Amino acid sequence: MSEWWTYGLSDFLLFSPRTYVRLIELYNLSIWPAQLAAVAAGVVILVLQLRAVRLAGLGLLGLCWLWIAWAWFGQRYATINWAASYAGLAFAAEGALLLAAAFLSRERSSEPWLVGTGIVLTLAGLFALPLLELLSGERGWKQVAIFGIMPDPTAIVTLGVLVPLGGRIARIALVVPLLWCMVAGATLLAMDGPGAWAAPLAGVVGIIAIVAHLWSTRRRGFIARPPT
Amino acid sequence: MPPRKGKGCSRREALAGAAGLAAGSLIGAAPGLAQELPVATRTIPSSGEPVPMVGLGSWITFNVGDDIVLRDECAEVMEAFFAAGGRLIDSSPMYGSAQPVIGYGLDKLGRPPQLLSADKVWISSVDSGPAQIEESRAHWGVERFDLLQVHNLVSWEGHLDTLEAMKADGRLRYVGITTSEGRRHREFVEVMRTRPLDFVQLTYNILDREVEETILPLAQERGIGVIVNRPFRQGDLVQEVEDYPLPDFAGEIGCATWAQFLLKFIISHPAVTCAIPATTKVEHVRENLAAAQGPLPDATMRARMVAHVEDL
Repeated sequence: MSEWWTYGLSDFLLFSPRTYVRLIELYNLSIWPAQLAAVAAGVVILVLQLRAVRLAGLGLLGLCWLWIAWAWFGQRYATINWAASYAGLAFAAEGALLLAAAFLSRERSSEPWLVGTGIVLTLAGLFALPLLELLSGERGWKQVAIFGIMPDPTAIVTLGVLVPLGGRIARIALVVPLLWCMVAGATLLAMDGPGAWAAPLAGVVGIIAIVAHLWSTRRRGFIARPPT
Repeated sequence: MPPRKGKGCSRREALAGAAGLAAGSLIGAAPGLAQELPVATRTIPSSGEPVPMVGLGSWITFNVGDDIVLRDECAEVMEAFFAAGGRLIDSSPMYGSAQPVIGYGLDKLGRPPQLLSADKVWISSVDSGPAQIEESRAHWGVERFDLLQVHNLVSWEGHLDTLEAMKADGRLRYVGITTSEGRRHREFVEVMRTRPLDFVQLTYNILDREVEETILPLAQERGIGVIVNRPFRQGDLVQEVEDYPLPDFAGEIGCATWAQFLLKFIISHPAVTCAIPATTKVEHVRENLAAAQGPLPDATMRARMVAHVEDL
């Protein structure tokens, strides 16, 4: 893209906020009451997380990502955004990766603060983000993004599960949710939408938590193995 | 309809234009508009065909996907556009679902004969250009496009070869190139100087006037029609000025609203063939078309308009 510096966020927005919100509403109506099942799955993931049994949650998350890839990106969002099919592929790959992680990873004990950060992120994606949209007054309850149904809250909950997990596959699986948190924020910012800061903030919290964890692990390793 | 070659205006087109003008005198009620006046036209320099000076863009506004409520609203906008005397509708494969939505509207309106279809080719692979054009044509449901433009100069050399060949074969009437918001103007000028273009499309409005220096005079010199996109900076310009009252002199040029004030400034430039504001509202499309009615500002008045808006 030539003269890329002359492009603003709004140049990448192909649709009006009204069209986008109606798209969510029509999608929500068409799949009702799947939202109840999705939220129930989210609560199960949270409970598993509280009991430090996170791998089973990864399996549920993987299914959610696959569903969103097909139902939201493929069937809905792609009708107004040609880039949605690429995002759908990324979501499908993430879904497969999470399913693989559920089978191939192993449970590890994490530091309490890291577990706490993960739970806060999960709660944010599961409850705080939909509430924020409702309380903004800009979205009706039919237009709210729900975990397991829409990408933004699902990405945040996924961060919540992955951040304390550790291991190579879990770390790789962090990439797509983190990227999506930035994309989601940029999209809502371009539309002046409610809570545009929420997903990027969740992403930043996740990154800080991982970096802090890596730093403290390295530091402990350095102290445990003093130079000879 | 047999394919036509070369320049000129067919009887069907002349009749369609006349029908459009006649319809222009019958537009629905909108406060403060000079309804009895016909919509003003400019001739396309390369053919002499008249075109109403206000067209209809589809960027963002017509990208409504499969939402039937919003599709019907777009069809209503198109209906009001044609009823008010409009002809040129512009789209692009880049605009999401805008092309099929236009096709839906045209179907619903019984394929208005006055339509002047303008679309674009927007793909980096020159070899894939014809397939994309065919897909766009199928979305619109037209027999052929009137105007095809190379969108944002993407792979322009190869695509212009394709479009020029289509025109020579009678599968296309007009060829053009586009840019927006001042991008790649140096290259744009080079293409204007070296290729046989019927149209250029660019961004021009009362605050973004860079094109007045080189591109608009060059278009006049080379007999190239000019389509103006983003006349309201995607609505931001109207929002910025509408808190202020219209100046007293707006009445002298028949402006009842800020949108008409801003549009009249654009279409009064002698090089401009038409502006293509996009909208989702029937009252706005009527208001926009009404800007092409009544008197247009002269050079002195245009300078006064600029000074006034810049002082706000």
